[in-house]
Amino acid sequence: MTADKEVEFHNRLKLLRAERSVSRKELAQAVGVHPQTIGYIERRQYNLSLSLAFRLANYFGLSLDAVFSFEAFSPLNNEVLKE
Amino acid sequence: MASKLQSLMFGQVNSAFADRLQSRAIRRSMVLALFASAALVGVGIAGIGDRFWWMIIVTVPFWIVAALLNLSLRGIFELNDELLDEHQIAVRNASYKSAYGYALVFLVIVATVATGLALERRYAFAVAAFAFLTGALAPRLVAAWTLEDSDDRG
Repeated sequence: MTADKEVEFHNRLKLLRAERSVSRKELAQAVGVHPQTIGYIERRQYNLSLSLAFRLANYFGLSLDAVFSFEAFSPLNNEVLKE
Repeated sequence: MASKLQSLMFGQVNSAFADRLQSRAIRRSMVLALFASAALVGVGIAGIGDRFWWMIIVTVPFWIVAALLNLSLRGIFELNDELLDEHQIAVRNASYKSAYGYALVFLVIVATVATGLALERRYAFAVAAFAFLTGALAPRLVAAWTLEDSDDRG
């Protein structure tokens, strides 16, 4: 069995928090983790569980792939221009 | 349900004072201070001989540093799982796993050297005290040394 140690999730948590003016503490309380854990996830220093990933995506009312990705997200303005 | 002691500890490790101890530099300083205070216990025991109360007194700096280290690690080694989140549990478990190997190698080296030197009883006791104190806290030392800086702003 091989572990997926090299795989890192990219995420939009910081962007989403900034956009909706949600502090780390508020988000942490809503999903039941310590605020530091949100920081570690945002900085990609911790690969979170699927359960926590769903709770975070649900909090923002988005699908999982809108918040987390195996590949780096392109800047939002690029996506807006595409539309 | 968490006991009163656990609830009290949870409050302490998440206090404003504990927030000030969250940088990696502070954690690493505490690791070094803990080694120094454990060595002080050893030196104290070797120098003091059988004076019991002095032996207790030389352990005070060690317990103070150990308590501060506990605060800087948010009590992840003392609190029950129900009071921790998945990241804290993961850090704790990983630290136990790697500390086991380090502690084993460290203790074998200390025991081998101490046996080879054929130390006097009080010096052997001092070395054993140092090895025991640092070995017992090895998972905390590994976690404190390796845990990334936590930026709590925002």
